[in-house]
Formats: sequence, C-alpha cells, structure tokens
Amino acid sequence: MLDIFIFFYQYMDAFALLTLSAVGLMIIFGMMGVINMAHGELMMIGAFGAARSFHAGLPLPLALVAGGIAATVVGLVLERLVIRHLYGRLLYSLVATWGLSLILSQGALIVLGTSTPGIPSDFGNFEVGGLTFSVYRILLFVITVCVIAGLWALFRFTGFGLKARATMSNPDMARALGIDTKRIYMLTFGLGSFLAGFAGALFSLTAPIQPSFGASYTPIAFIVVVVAGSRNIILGLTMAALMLALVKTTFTINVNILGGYVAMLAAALLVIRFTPNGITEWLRQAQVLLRRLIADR
Amino acid sequence: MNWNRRDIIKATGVLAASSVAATQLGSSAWAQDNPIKIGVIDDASGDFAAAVIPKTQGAQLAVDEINTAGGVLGRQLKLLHYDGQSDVKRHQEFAQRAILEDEVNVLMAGYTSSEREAARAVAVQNKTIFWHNNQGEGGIADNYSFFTGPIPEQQILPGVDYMVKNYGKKIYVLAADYGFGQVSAQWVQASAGMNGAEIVGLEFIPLGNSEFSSSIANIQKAKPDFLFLLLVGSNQSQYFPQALAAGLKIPAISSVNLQQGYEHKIFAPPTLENLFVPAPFLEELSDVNPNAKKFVSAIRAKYPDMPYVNECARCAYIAVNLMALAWAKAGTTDTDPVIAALQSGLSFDGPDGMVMLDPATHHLAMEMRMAQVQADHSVKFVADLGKVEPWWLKRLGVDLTTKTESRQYLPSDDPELAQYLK
Repeated sequence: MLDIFIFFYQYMDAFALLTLSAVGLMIIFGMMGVINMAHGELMMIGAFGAARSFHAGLPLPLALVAGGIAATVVGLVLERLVIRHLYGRLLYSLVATWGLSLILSQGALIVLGTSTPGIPSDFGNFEVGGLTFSVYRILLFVITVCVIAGLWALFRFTGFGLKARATMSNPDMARALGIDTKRIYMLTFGLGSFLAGFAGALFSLTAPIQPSFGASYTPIAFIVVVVAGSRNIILGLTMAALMLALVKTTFTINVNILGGYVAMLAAALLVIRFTPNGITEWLRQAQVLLRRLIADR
Repeated sequence: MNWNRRDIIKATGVLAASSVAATQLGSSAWAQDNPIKIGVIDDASGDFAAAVIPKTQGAQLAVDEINTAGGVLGRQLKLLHYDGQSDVKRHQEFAQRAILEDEVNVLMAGYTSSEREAARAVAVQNKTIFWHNNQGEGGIADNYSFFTGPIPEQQILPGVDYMVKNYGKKIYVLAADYGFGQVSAQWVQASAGMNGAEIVGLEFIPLGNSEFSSSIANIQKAKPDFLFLLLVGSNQSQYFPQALAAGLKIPAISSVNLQQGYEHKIFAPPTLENLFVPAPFLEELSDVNPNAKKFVSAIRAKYPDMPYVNECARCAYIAVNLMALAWAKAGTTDTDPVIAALQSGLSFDGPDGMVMLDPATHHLAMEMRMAQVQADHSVKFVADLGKVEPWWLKRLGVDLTTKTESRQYLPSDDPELAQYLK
C-alpha cells in the first residue's frame, strides 16, 4: 500500500517536472515550428527574477509571476531581434537559439553573479505509513494541472486562442482572413517565455539559483516536445509527459535513478522510431483509421 | 602564432579584453619581460562555476601578494587562466595549450576528478608540475602531481568515526556516480567496517541529476542513523531543499558539500541544518582563527562580491605559495630541482594554520576540524580532529622521494580496507 502511494507521489512529481519544463517550449514549437534552445535560460531568468523580487519584498505568488514577466520581457526582445526571422526554419532556429542560450547564461554570470540567495520554501510535509512527503511537490502537481487547464481554456474560449489555432493550422489562410499572424507569433512567443519563466520560478524554490540553472531542463523539455509532436499542443504535451513520467518513475523505483533516465530516453527513441512526428500525429492517424473502420462497417 | 599577437597587444598597450580561451587576470605581469607562468584551468562557466571561481581568485590573491613583495627569483608571477567550462574535454585541450603553446611553469587544473585526470595526464606526459586544488578521493601517487585538498584519511575516516560515536551505526550513502563518488563511497564502506557500522543503503546519483524524490523515500525506508553525502555540482545540491521539503531530518555528513559549493549561502535556512563537515578551512573559521581571518579579509578586500570564501580559494592560495617557496629554494624554475625543493619538507603558514607538504606522498598534512551547520546556517566548530597526516599511501609503501610512481591506489589495493568492501 505504501509502495503504491510512493509510486503515485513520484509519478505525479515526475509528471509535474516534465510538463512544467516543457510547456513553454511546446507552445513555441507547436505554434511556430521553432525549437527554442534558450528555453532553459528563460527559466533561469524566471528563477533570478522571482528570487530577486521576493527578496525585494514581493509576496511569494507575485514574485513567481514577476519571474514569468522577467522572462517574457527577455523573450520578446529575443523574438523581435532574432527569432522572428527564423519562423518555420527548424535547423536555423536550433543553431541561433543555442547561441542565444550561451550568451544568456554567460551574460547572467557576468551581470547577476554566480548565484543569488534562494526563496525559503516551507510548505510543510505530511506523513504516510511512517514516511514523510513534501506538500510543495503536491502543490507543484496542482499548479501543473491548473496551467494545462488554463492553456486549454485560453486556446478554446478566447479570441486570441481562436486566431492562434487558425494561424497554427494554416498560416496563409489565416493571413488571408485578416489575422495579423506576425502579431500572433509574437504574442505566442511571449506566452511561451512567460510559462518558461514561471516554471523556472517554481523550480527555484528547491534549486540553487545560478546562471547554469536552465541547462538541466532544456534537454528534458526537448525530449518531451519531440515525443509530443506539434499536431496538438495541449493533448500532446500531456500525453508525452504522462508516458515519459510513467517510464521514468517505474525504472527509477525498480532499478535506480540512472535506469530511470535510460528508460525514458529509450522510450523517447521508440516513439520517434515508430511515429516520427510525435504521438499526436500517431493519434490523428489512429483517429482517421478508426473513422474509416467505422465507416466500412 | 601567439608571440606576434602578444607583441602587438603589448605594443599597443591593449589588455586582452575577454577571450574565452585565456583571460589574462593579472595586468602587472605584462610589464615584466620574463614572468614565471602559472597556468590555471578553472571552471568559470557551467555547472561547477559557483564553486570554482573562488579558486581562481585565491590563486590570483597569492600571485598579487607575492608580486607586491618582489616576486620570486627576481621575476614576477603571472597567472594564465583558462575557462574549463565544467567540461572534461576543455580541460584536456587547455592543458595541452597551456603546456605546449604558452609554456607554463606549473599547471593547476581540474575541479572534478574527471577534469583533474584529463588535465593531469597531459601534465605528467609533458613532465610539467601539476597541482589539484580541492578535496579529492586521494590515492594518487605521481612524481609530477601535488595536492592541497584533504583526502579520505583526513576527512572520511575521522568523519565516519565521529558520526558513529555521536549518532549510531546505520549509514546511508548518496554518492555522485563517477570516479570521485565511487572511490569515496568505497572509503565510506571501509570506514564503516572499521567502526563496526553498517551501510544500510548506497545510491549512486548521475551527475546532473536534480530529482531526489525516490532517494528520499528510499532513505526513509532504510531508517539510517546518519547520511554520508557525496553530491557534486549545483544540480545534485538540490537534494538539500528537497529533503527539507519532504521533512527528512536525519543528520548528515559530507566531505565535499558546503566547503566547496557553499550551499548554506545559496539555500535559505534551515535547509542545511545538521550537516557535518570535516574540513581544514571554512570561511567561518575566520571567526575563531587569526590565520583564517587574515586570509578572508585579504581576499574579500580584493573581491568584495565573493559569495563565499571556500575550500577551493584556500587550496589554490596555498598551492601558489608553496610553488613560490619551491622556486625560491631551488633557485630555478627547472622541473627536477623544483620537484626536489617541493619534496624537501616545505611548510606554509596558510589560511588554516601551518600545512606541511609531505615529501613521500605530495599531499598536505593539515589541521582538520568538524563543523556543524546550525538552523540559521551559521557554522559551529564542534570538534578538533587534530593535525592529520596523509598516511595511507605511505602505509602502502609509497615514497615518491625514492621511487618513481604514476598510478592511483584504490581502497581495494589495501587488504585492511578491502575486507570491508562488498
């Protein structure tokens, strides 16, 4: 019984980590076909922003949002200066944003120093079967679910969401219908940057806030996005994170931490081998196939 | 190719501004025609930067102090810094560049054991004196290699002994999964055996891992009396806040954390409460020790923004000073006479008191202290572990003054320790 709880606790934890790490990257990739290798550095800016504004006197929730806003500002500047020229060109964007990531992390080292004092995070703990667990980790999971639900609502119910979905599925047609796609791209990049910064701010509660902060998250986010594919942002992200977290947790518990990473990478490889465009593409094909089967009957 | 560029730079009086490859930290040396060159490959970027940047600053402080006092052999010292970028491959490349192209008189390099070995191999191959300036897993016997950091017989053995006496016999080990962590974990196993204690859990953590939920659950299930932590890099240091958040309140000891990565200055209190640290030097030693006070105020005067004066700063400072003593004693910078001078029983009144460079093993005899982190992250020195010699290699028959060696001994090479390894 305790083992089942431990499994679900760690599964939730891994799911939250993967989803929050990847959500900003996923939106930018799904929308504009750009992989933002400076994603981790936006997270780092979010972490620095949150910690600095917390110590300047902002209450914690506002400090977390301030982290997101700091990343948004930097993200928008990058978008205007560099990234907007690379929309739809995956390989160019990879190289350019990788360069940006190096500039940002080294720039942060020079401007912000080697580290900044963290935010004290005492959310307490609870006991199950003699073991204690962190409330903060549960909170992280709840926030993850809220972020996903919020994004779904944004894309489903708002004018921006409608235009964004139209731009995503057919940019030429969207433009013909009078949608300012460049503006949509910019806003989406800003949203992706905000989510990256917000995730960085959340993670900074239990991580040292240093210029290299983001480096460990970019690869994780990258794997999630590649597995998800670009067909459906929210469903893809959720499914990819659920699947990868399941594999990682199972192998971490039964083998060891290294085993968890190896299994997660192997799972990602398998997905890419059999569905090169990600699981969302596979889902769509399955859907088409299913419809045809039903129609044949 | 370098000479031309340098002449131009010298002629125009332009200081090399910011080459990633070789940032020239010293400016006084440019005026000197023939400085003694100290090459340092320290990580100024990447995962280890926070811990390693103070190392370069410690070396620079020593260089400046020696130059102000007139230099060595009538020559000024010059520090050539290469950013190792927390990358093993960079260490190898820069070691070649420092030795073959820039012709440094001594090379000081490597933070992790893997970085150290990459650079050290190049130094040994080219018969260049090499220093590693932070705590390590020990066991290296090599005629060209010298070490300022404490080693297992100075940290792990007395540390485990102290913890077993004060907290109990069940130990859980979390160790970074590479050379240093694996060898150190063997030392913990052997120390446990010697103290009649039991290892109830041993986990190797991949470098760069920052998720500890599973380890925390495993630790709680195993119910140890204390933890032995050998976590390396800022990613792995996330263990501390995660353990606190999960309500894990088991005393821990670490031979590497805090003294290098100053996690107590990075995380908000009381994250590191009850972490025990066997160390020769911590910045907090300056509150109780005049030598440490002198060193800390000197380095802080030079670098007011330093987040913490850590073990790396102390080690590099001592290494440069010992080299200066050796060059002066040898009357030359030629390798063989300088090694003979280094093996002449040099001692130096450094940041943590008198240290002596052991001729037989090329490691330091130093005063060791046990520090305990308090709830407000202040540090209390709770025990004096005394002056500890680097005795283990000598027990294995190593004597570098009489016998040429170039290998690393492991706990399994010592029958007395091997019996406790599973």
